[in-house]
Amino acid sequence: MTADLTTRAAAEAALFGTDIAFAPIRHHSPACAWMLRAMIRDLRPEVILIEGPSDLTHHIPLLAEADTVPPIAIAAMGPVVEDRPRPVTYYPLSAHAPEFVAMCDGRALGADVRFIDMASGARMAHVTQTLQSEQPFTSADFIKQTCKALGMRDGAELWDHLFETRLGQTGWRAFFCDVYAYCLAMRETTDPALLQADATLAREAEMRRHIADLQGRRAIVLTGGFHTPALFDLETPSQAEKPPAVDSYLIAYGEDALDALSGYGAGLRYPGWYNQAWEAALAAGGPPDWSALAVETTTGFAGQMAGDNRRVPLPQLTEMVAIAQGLAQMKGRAAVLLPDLFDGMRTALVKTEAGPGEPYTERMHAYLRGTRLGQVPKSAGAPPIVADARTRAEKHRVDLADSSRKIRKLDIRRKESHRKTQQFFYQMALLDTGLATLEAGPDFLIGSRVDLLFAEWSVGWSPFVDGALIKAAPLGATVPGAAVNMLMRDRATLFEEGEGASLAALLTLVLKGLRAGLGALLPTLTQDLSQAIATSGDFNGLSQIILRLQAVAMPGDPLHDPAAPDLLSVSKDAFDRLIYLMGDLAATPEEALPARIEALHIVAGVLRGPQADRFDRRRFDRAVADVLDEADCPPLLAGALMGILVQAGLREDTTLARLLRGTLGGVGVPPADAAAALNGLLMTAPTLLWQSRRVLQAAEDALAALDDAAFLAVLPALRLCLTQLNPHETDRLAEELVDLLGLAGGALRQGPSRFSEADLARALRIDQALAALLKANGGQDAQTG
Amino acid sequence: METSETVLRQTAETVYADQLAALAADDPGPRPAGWRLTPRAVRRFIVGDDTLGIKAKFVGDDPLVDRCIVSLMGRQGLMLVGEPGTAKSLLSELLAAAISGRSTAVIQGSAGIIEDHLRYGWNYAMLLAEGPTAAAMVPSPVLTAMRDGHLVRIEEITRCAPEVQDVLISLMSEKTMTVPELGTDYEVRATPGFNVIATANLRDRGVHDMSSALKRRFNFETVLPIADAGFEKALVAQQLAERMAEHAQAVAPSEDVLNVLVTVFRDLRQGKLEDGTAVAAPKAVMSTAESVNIAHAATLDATYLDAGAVGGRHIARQLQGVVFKDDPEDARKLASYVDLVARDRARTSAEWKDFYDAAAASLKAK
Repeated sequence: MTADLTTRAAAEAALFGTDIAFAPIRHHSPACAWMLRAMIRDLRPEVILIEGPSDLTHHIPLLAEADTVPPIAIAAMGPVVEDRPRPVTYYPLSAHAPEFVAMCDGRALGADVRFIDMASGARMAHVTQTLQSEQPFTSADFIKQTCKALGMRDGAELWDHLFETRLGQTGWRAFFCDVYAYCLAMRETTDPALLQADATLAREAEMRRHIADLQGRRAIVLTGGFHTPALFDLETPSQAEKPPAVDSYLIAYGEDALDALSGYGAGLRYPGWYNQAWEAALAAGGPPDWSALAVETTTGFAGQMAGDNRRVPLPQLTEMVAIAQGLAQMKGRAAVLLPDLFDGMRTALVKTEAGPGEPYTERMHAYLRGTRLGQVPKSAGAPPIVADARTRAEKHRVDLADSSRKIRKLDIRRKESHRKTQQFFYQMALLDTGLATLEAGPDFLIGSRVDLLFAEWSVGWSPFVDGALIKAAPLGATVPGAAVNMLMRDRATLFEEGEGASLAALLTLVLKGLRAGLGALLPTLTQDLSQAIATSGDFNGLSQIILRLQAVAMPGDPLHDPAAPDLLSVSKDAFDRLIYLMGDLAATPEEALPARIEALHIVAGVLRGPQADRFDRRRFDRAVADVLDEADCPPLLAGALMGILVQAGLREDTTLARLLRGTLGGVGVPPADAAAALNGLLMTAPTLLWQSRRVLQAAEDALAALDDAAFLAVLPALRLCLTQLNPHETDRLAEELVDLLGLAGGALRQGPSRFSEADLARALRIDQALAALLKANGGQDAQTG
Repeated sequence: METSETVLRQTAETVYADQLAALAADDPGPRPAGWRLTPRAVRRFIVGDDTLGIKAKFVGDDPLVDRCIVSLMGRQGLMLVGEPGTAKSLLSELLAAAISGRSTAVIQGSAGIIEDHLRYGWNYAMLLAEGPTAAAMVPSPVLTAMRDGHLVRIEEITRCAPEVQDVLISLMSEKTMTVPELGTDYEVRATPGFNVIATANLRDRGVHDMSSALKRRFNFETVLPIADAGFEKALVAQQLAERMAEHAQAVAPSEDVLNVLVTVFRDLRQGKLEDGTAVAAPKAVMSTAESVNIAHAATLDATYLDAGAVGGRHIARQLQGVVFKDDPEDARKLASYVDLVARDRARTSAEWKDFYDAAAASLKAK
């Protein structure tokens, strides 16, 4: 070690030597806040300057109001730049933040309290998300060296060991001198290039400008200790460039968001625990009873574990406290600090190898982090949408004071109130707030499992919900209003991308609106849909519209909304259009046929359903019959349509039997065409194969009549089309066949094999030869056999 | 007195006698009853102290050492668990040497251990001659430790049969051992300073589970593989030098060779490379101790069979035999590592090339 960086006398002179007193602090440090209170009480300053964005000063009176409950944050939103997400930065404050204490105590004293840091609008160019960086507290060389010398594991423990242990004590002058020396050493061992890169130097110049403006008034300058050494030389006041304007609001913040671990906030980790320490000091009017605090923390943690059905036995809890106290003692401190508690937990509770899989560590982190949410004073002007969302959330029984996520089970089919709650969740989802996510339940967009009675949501109000709402504020004053506008924005994007006529995309938007209970606000979208239907040639899209919207139009459906535009008529439009399009069905290119047949199958299903009377099914049947009667109707289509008609009872099954016999036994037709009718039938009405003996008999007759060569030729195509059956259906068909052929159960399988081993060997040889031949001809992955 | 000429390995309290004396000489402050040093001095002995010139003996996890020391101050025993070769035994020996001044009260756990090894046996000649008397009793290390108030170490406790482990249950909660043969009231009560340090392996095959009753009487500490590559390298070099002390003509492996060895072990142990690329991790234990074994074997190979300095090829040759013993799947994982990672590195480093060529050749030979 060379010469000392500073001495006690030099530090005291620099910090408190003039009318301008400096308070070097660490953000969110309870000990700093405690000492600062004493300092303000003793010095009674006229002005308090705080390291905070100067363009957010107008929030200070609100923050200092009596009904403000920290943690709370100022959210500042930068200018909207085309195509990019709007930048948002948070300036979080906890109850034990020195800044917060300065605001409250300073205002109570009648002091002028102001922010002096670079304006948030200007700073967004440099950093986003958080305005208080704590990185040097862990990374500076000085910290690493000191940790090693004192036997501390990291910067966090070192800070706590040196400073937080003094919470509740007296002697603020000595305390701040020590913080100053600590930060000075930290600054001296930090790479200067870093200071340039993260705009630290520019910010400090800005702070000096504000300090120079004081003109002799008695002041306390409250900044991160890292900056203090750079603030003594006064900057000549100069006109700063006008920063870009920002919109800023107070939002309720949460302890888990404050935690630096979560990647957003700044300052000390585990605000829940530090807040406990702070409150203990306030209650004691001096140093907290650290042992009692350790016991309280331990039992609180055990209580939470018990809530998770993991009871911690009392002897282990006692051991945990004992170990924590023993560790603190060994390190020579009276205060039982966080590392001691963590170590105590690890030693006393974990009864296996530590590492992933043991249940304690993660829960302990979460417990110490805390889940409390702050409260914005009533007089703070939040955008109306925030208040609206909070009122609605409360109505839907969302806990606004706790940010931990909980599971909510909603009975969406039977309870109107639950349906409304789900709609609210979907509205909030449209605004991308992250309030609630669907864990299990029906998916109305793709139409899967829509018959489920219950939906399970994971719900938790966090500060980022507030943040997202503030971001969405330009879209509307209420949640439903903003949500509709969000949908309209999506619609605009759709049209810009030339997808404005896509039935699937438009239907998705309508369904998104409906599941969010926005039916009454959807006329534009339904009109879009009607228009798109009028010109569409998309069989599949039309059938989906018919299927989904007719279901929604039925009272009792979870998406049904009496106030919505007439969705049934849209559905009918789609039905009309489909029938119109069926005129050209026979001319469908081969590759598009399966999709169109599927569409017809869906519509036929609707026409058998509870809503059938809403559609004119005779028109559909007639259209189907017309296609069928066309001379050039491809066999695949013919089989499918015949299936539909026979199932509807409009044609005799003999007709179908004839069709199958004709195609399967066709003379000179390519094998794929021979199986096509059967294939089509399986697509629309597979049940006919076993429900009607005639149909099956016809197929069997036709196949039995084939000679071996012809049968082998058609076999691959037959096998392919029979794969459409699910195992249950295959079983059913097999049963029917056994019955038809008069075979006793199992006879099909157990009959003596007609093949000998020699046959098998020959077949294998042929198989290999074939494979070799295919390979030689360039068929890489050809499968044989 | 043992000297280095007469034994292969000396106890910690002998090797570090001067350090322990220096610490004891200036060690004010309260200490738990029965302890030779204060907890802080114990800590300095193990994690090092620059002012007294004491080098760190167990590095990489100081908080673990703190927890162990504090645990031993209480009534709970200390259970060190972790992969093989993570220096659990070393740590327990150092703790015993510093706290009790003797690390020799030790039971080496195995399937052959019976209750008597944990309680007491008899001098049968005296037993026959005099009947059961205190003089005819042969106390176990546990009983001695209880009587004299020092630490007793039980190595590999999970290798002992469950009924043998059970002996410890009431012993640890009552801190008393009864000897019914010497009368109903005869019992030995532990004096201050007594505690148990056990080490256990929870992963190997052929170990017994511990009952939860036993677990409750111990505080568990997991000793993790060394996190810092630089330190691991230094440790391998140091331990290798100790082992090779009797082979004067051997040349120590170069920095680059050690690099190859430690990197291979770390990559395969963690299942990923430094840059985060995933590789298949073999089931074999890739501990630091194993890497010392490899370095040792490779150096012997180079010295006596190849007459030269150790190169990547020697490491490669030993790797398969020393580490990949059980599982044929492991050999495939090593092969893919060699093929993908080592080949890539062979392009830029001579030692890696040496390693790769030999490894590829030996794998092909299989």
